[in-house]
Amino acid sequence: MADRQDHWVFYFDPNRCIGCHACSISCKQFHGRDSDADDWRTVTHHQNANGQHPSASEYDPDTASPIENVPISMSCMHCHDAPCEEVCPTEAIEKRDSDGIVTIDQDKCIGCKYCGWACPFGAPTYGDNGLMSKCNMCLDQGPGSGAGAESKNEQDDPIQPNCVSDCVGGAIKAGPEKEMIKEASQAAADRFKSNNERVIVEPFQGNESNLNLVEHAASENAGD
Amino acid sequence: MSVTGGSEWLWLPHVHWAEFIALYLFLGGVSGGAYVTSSWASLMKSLMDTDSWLGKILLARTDDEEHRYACAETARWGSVLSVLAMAVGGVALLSHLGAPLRALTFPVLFSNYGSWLTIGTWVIVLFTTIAVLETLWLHFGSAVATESGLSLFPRKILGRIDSLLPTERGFVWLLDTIADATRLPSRVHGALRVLGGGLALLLVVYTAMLLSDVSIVPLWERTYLPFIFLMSGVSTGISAALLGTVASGGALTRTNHRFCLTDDAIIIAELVAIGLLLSHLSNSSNAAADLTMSTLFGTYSLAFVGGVLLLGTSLPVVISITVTLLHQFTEFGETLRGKRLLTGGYALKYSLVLVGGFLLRYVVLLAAIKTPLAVPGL
Repeated sequence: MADRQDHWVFYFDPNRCIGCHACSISCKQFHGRDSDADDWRTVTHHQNANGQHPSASEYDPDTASPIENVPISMSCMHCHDAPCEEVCPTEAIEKRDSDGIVTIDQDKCIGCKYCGWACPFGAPTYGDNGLMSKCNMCLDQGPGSGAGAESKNEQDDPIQPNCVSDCVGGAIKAGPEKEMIKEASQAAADRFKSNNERVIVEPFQGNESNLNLVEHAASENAGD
Repeated sequence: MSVTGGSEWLWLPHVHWAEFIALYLFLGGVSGGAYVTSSWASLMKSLMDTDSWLGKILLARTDDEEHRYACAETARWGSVLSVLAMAVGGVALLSHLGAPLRALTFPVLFSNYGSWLTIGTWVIVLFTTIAVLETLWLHFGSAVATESGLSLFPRKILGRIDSLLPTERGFVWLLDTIADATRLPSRVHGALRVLGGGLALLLVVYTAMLLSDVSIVPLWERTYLPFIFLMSGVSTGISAALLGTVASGGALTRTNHRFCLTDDAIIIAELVAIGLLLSHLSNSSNAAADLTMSTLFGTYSLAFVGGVLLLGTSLPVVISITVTLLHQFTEFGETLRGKRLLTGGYALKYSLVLVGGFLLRYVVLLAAIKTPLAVPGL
């Protein structure tokens, strides 16, 4: 059994995200999912209490929330405590000991949607067949794939999830927890450890740095 | 993204278990409650039959034939409704699943015994087995053949089907034979009823434990929801069974009177628990709890305030007290018109409790809001 430090986690820096949706599109493309299927990786902006984004006509930069312009890229975070795994009656969901990636075996799934309620990130999606599918950190391609796939920690050169490799701003990273902690700022690392968090997230610095990043992403040095 | 103390929230899309699951949770409660009602009525009847000292203490008198009839009818209605509710609820549950046929292989497939779905499935299976046996013994067998009552409708329906069959021996004969062959000695039967009663209560509570295991939904608070569902389940079970007894002509019997008052006490306990849950939500610092309160008294105010708090709980208690006072302390029930009005009052009360019980589950599901993610840095 691998140590939790070896379990893969996501790292997200909202200051480097420009909201281009490349992550969610590359995810959908790699896994061969229909364009109208629910996203495994979503890019959302600040939503109101009804789960709706402010429309362009409603948006007022003087009164708007400072994070209405901040895109948040989310997927299954492969939680260390995996609440979805705990409630699944058939053990179709597995938090793998080897690399910490949470997989779904659709041959065991009954489509009860219990995991959808238990997940704090809203990660599980349910396709036309009613069965659950979600991010598998690109262990394999397609819904339900990845269960039983080789551990990322046993691969010589572990394949990065497509959302990571296609992110133009370097906002998303994935890897063993001990490596991701090194990538994080002190503030993000401290918060991750002290709050026993499920994902490493950089503190948001403000709109100005975000705009700088947009300019950077559009420049020749994009991707640096 | 689950940093506490942030002032800006990322609200997740609502993943609703909609009407079918609400119906399943409601019928699960009705089923368990109706079985408990049936078992209690059976105990009362057996105490009357044996003319025991306990019966004299509990029932005051054991020679009341109307009471005996109403107890028998309540026992039969309760058992048959517990099976019917579970059957319809099971269909509602299966129809919601992505792979319903796969779910039928639960003895092999459901291997996570820490999941309330697995625990609940086994509770349902064991409970339904006992409830089916109880229904068989209460509706079939040589001892029942001479009895009458609306609750014996399964027997009558099968009798009519039998009359269309070319054979002399039909379904009624078959079930009578099975009932006589399997009927247990009274002490063993009593023990099975106690076991069935325990499973029935566990069934009712499980429907809430299933929800409250999801800790990120403040409305599904574990301290209060199981108790609310337990009270509501027993109350709706009593109402379903006694609605049958009222239809059988037992509205003005001591049986109905006692069950009705018991139901009132349970409803009041349920209302107190709902009040405590609302108080807990309003005092919570969780943004989802705050929004849940707005949703309960905003979007779902008609269903929650109008349907659950007024129509489904408060009004039935008011009707019950009014009908009881008129029945017990006046001569209102001496006239035919008075009897009809009192019977209608009881029927209305029980019907409203059932409507309220469904709306409670409906609101608990559709007004459920997940704790939002705190956006870091703000």
